[in-house]
Amino acid sequence: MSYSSEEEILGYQFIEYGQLGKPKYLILGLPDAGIVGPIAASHIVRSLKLPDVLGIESYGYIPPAAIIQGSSIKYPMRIYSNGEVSVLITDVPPVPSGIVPLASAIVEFSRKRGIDHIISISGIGNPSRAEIDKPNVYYLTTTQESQKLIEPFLNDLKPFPDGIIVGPYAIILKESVRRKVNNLLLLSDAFTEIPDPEAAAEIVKIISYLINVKIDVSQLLQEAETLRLRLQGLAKETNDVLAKVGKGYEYRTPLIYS
Amino acid sequence: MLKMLKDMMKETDEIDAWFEGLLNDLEASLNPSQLFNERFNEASKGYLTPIISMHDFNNELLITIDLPGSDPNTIDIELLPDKITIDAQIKEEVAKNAFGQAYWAKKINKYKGVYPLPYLIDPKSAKVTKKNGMIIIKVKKSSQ
Repeated sequence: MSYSSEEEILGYQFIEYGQLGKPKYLILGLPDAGIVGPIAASHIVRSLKLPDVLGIESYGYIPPAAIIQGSSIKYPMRIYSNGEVSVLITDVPPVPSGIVPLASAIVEFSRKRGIDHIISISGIGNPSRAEIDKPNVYYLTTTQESQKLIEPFLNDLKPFPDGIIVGPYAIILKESVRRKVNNLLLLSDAFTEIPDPEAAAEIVKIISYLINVKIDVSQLLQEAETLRLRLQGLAKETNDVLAKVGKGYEYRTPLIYS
Repeated sequence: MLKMLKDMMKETDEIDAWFEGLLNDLEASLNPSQLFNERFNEASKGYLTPIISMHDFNNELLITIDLPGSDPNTIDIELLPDKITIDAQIKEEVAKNAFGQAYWAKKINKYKGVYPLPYLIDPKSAKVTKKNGMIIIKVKKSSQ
């Protein structure tokens, strides 16, 4: 692996060993409810055959781990890119105190590199998910530009209802507003603790329209049970980390109401 | 001068917050991790603890048990007033597809778990459905 550049932002090293380019989109697959983000992001990487171009490391905030794949040594957190679409995937959730700086670093990195839109993918833990055949997809935007991006597809989406968001995507939203970065957050109804490939598939369909690239979700749906088994470990780790940062606050109403 | 003092105090607050976060992580790393112990037991004994989700809907408890890749003929669930026990075999082919050549997963061939319930329930009122490798149980709270 040869390195073309390294940049440190808020305790995270962004180590570029491929060609990130200046992609229009950075799709984030951070683990949250239903592991929807990692499932959708991995499927997009696989479908578009995106090369691994950048690793994100932090010896303080990311557990000391290396991913071994086909005798290659990879960073646990990576960005894949074809120069137009880039996707961030992580195999290991950061430690609780690393979530805030990670989210801020991602927004600052995107701003510096001139990425047009950050598209965050997550699930909303829905206690009645077992009774829902087709999960709804909700959206939140931080700028008029990201609102314009989603405008043609509003018939397929619902605005995020009033409430509280806790976790890395909450920080990404706030930092995007603060730094005037275009951020679109897509969330689907999902199981709270169980990996949810069906919920991820609904978001992949929307992203396919947004970025104007055909992405077939049939394989994702066929492999749903295998994926749930494979991702059981990541789901348990994610639930553990998110419980420590107050994920339970999402299940109550905020003080502010209209 | 006042502004300089305020800026210094703000920096001190940020340093305090960072240090507290560091101490919390250190404390978590020094104490035995429940997650690590659970994983180690699973790998050495050859079973996975299923992910189970419980939600309170006023008069009833909704229990969702995720058993992906399980052989439906081997699922054995016992619902007691204060706990639920789960046993099921995992189909070998699904386990191979899910875990590949991972050395720790070679022995994994079943699900096994015992979970306390948040309150007493009436097992006789339980209604059970199966969906995509999940078992969904709706059960009424005990009147006692």
